[in-house]
Amino acid sequence: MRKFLIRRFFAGILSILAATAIVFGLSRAAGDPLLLYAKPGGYGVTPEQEQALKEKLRLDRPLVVQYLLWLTDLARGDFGKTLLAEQLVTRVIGEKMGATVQLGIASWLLATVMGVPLGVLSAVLRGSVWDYLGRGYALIGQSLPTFWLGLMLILIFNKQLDWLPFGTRGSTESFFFTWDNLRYFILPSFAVAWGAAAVYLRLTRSAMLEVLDSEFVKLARSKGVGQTKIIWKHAFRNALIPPLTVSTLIMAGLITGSVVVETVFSWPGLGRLAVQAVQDNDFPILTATVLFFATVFVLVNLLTDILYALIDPRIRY
Amino acid sequence: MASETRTEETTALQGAAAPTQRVFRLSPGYIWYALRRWPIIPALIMVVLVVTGVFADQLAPYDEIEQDIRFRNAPPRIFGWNSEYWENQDYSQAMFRAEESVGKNPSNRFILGADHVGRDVLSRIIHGARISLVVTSVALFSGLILGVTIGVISGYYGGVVDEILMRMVDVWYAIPFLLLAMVAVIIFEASLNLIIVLLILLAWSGYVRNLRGEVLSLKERDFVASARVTGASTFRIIFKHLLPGLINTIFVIASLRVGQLILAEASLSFLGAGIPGPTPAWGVLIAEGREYVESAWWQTVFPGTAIFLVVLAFNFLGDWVRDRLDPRLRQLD
Repeated sequence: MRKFLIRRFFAGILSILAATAIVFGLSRAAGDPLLLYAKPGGYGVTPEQEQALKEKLRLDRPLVVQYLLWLTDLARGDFGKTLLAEQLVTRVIGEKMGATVQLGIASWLLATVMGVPLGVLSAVLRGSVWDYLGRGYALIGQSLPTFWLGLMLILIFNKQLDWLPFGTRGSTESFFFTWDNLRYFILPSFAVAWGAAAVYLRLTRSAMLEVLDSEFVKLARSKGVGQTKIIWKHAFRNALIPPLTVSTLIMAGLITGSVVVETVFSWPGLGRLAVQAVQDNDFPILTATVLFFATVFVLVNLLTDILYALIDPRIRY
Repeated sequence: MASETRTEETTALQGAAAPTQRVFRLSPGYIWYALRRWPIIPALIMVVLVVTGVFADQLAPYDEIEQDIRFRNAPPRIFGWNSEYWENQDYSQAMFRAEESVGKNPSNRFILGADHVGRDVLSRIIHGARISLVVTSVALFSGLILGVTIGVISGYYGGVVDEILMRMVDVWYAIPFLLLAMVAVIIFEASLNLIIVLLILLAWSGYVRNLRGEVLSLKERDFVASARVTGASTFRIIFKHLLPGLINTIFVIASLRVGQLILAEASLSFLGAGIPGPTPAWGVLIAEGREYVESAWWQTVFPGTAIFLVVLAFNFLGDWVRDRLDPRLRQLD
């Protein structure tokens, strides 16, 4: 077990390095970052200034050296500064990270609350109307494009009915858990949770069906244990393993998949920051966001492996 | 799910007709049974998609690129909606008369409304079907070949090759795909070919781990050993002895993958990293209509419905194929 985890840990670090290296290389190939300072039609820079900028940004060095220098800076906690506004990258990302993580957690909670009970209901009442509704939802949930669902939610609940706002995430200064703040989360988190809940539903349903068909549930039934107790105590706790382990992956997907939903809802998070950074070719931000996303992904994968072994003692690596 | 299909069958048969009576009558019970037993509606949607994709030029009522600013954001005329709008526009009456005089049928125009520069939304959706069809099928098959090759090689050879290939897959999974795609678009400029390449990059990874696992267990089996003893080449073992056993898995993964690819293409186009305008990909239509979602909902609602129905059909078929061919893969997603 320990050997396996150590191996996975180093493989994870390798993944992060490779992912950032690829994006680092690509962002250099994407065009001269100096164009940010001297946009066509802008004021321009003198040749001396250009040379100084190049040296400052290390653009005069070979690509590999640039990457290695970036890594050594990273090891010292120096993520560099954004190109145009010259703000610390750590600060910019820190500001935006909160919004993305909050939205991720909200959508994850919503998806769990929507998906897992529906999955149980669908499995317990197999063949009933509820089951067909549940299975229908599982299919529809994965077929709606998130960005379109988001747009439709905006159209219906914001533009037509004027019930819910979107566009920011409320005030960050006052007490957080107020309706004024939370209502900004409803539309975007529902748009994200819609698809994730369908995944939960599928997994819970199939796990639940399998467990309900097992010997120990039959034994409990023949002993005369009540239906409620069988479902929640005997079956549900065992059926929880697949959805629980997948939930970490879903969580990671919600955070890294924030690019689309943040664009639709103008959510001030990392996803939109990254899209902006790509458009501006602001490579310090871009590489840092990719680093963040890749790290989240690798950590979550590692966590899933550990969780798997903890929940299900039969699994040994 | 095997037992479940069986119960469905029996209940449905009881509802339809006695099992002894094997006459195919179109009783309501039989139709209900058939609809549940076979993916008839999804298959219909797919046939419609393929037909509109192939015959887009013939089917589209109007040119999909020609702009007519007089009709910007003109509302849909389907079922005689908005007849007030259309009758009060002098220019539209004049133009329709002009079209009629040259033998065209103007009643087909703007059935689903017009977009922000007066292009016919229905025609753009129909041409978008062709793009979805081409992009998805090319990406699906190329990704399949790439993924299967890597998976089989990784499983068959093992050792260092396996280690390198599997780490490659790990790295690939850790890269945020959408960001990579957006950077790539800035470097190479958005084009149909680029989006196909990007989708291939998305499509291949699903096959590798599953097929590697299957090959690992298959290659230890007796029939592979005896093939090797009789002097079969590696090439022959892989193609004659291993691949036939993998076809089911490949088919199941591929059929579950189609929907994801369509969604990914639409998302990329929506983010501006996909197919460049004025080519009417469905994602592009939604992105263009986004600003007018309040005043001209038809520009986003109809293309979105098209994406939804097609993805739904493919997902349904994928589930169906999986239940048929390989119930073990049920938890794949």
